[in-house]
Amino acid sequence: MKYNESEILEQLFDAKTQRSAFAKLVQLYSEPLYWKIRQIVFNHDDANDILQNTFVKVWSNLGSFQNKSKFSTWMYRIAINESLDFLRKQKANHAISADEQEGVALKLMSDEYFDGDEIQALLKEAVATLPDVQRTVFTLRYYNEMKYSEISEILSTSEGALKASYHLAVKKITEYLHLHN
Amino acid sequence: MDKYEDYLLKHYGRENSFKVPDGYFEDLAQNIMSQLPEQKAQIVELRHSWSSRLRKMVAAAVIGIVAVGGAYYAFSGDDGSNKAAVAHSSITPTASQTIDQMADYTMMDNADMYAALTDY
Repeated sequence: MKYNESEILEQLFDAKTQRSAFAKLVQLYSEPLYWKIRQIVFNHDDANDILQNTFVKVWSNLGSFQNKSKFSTWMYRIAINESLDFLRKQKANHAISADEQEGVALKLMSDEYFDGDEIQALLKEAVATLPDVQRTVFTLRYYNEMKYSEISEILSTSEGALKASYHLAVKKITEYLHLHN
Repeated sequence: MDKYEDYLLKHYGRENSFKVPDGYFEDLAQNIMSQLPEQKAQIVELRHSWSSRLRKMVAAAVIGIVAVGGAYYAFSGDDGSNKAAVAHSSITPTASQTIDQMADYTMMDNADMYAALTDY
């Protein structure tokens, strides 16, 4: 069943239909949000947790949605911020237990929910070496093929800055791959 | 196209190498809804762009009045000397960072936020 975002938002006004309207939003956006998150954090269980947290935050903050952007853009923004928070915490944890660190590519090759080959795993490892926001910009542009205008709305960053960030990211990744391949 | 991007696409591609457990998406919406707290429903008001512009104008007017009033107070004096009274923002850097974070989530302009804070 296809839902129209603006129709669903109208139903969010009404206390009687708010929960059912939210359920429609979840049906509409859970899968695309999941894949945005997964591409950033790699692991399925982590992506699932972040997705749940995202929708809880959206639900809890419905009253603060200002309609200055599309509702979907607002949700993507929350999802990306949750993903970035996760990456920061993950790095902090790895700093504590550095001896347990494993190469990202190696980890992915042993992950039952990773279907790629060693080359694709190595690319993911190269992406993981980027600073978090740059990693996000690269992922949204390269893997999700999002337009800079769309990324700009989600990250509240100018298109010029995004293009520069992406160019740097691609250069660093290429250099990493040349070194490790 | 960027030559580095061209290299990546040619040698590594961009296909999605991730997969999910069987039936994950079929059960996902239900699982998410079951996690949501039961709460008194929030009445979501879709504020239309004209009211948003009005609020910005009011916020700008308030800030303008405060700025003019502050400048008048700072520079008023019988000897005509320019007192180097610097108008400090009442928002500390730390509070400003917090407001930026809040603005990120609520998509509210800083002007609106600061205007709201002047009520306290």
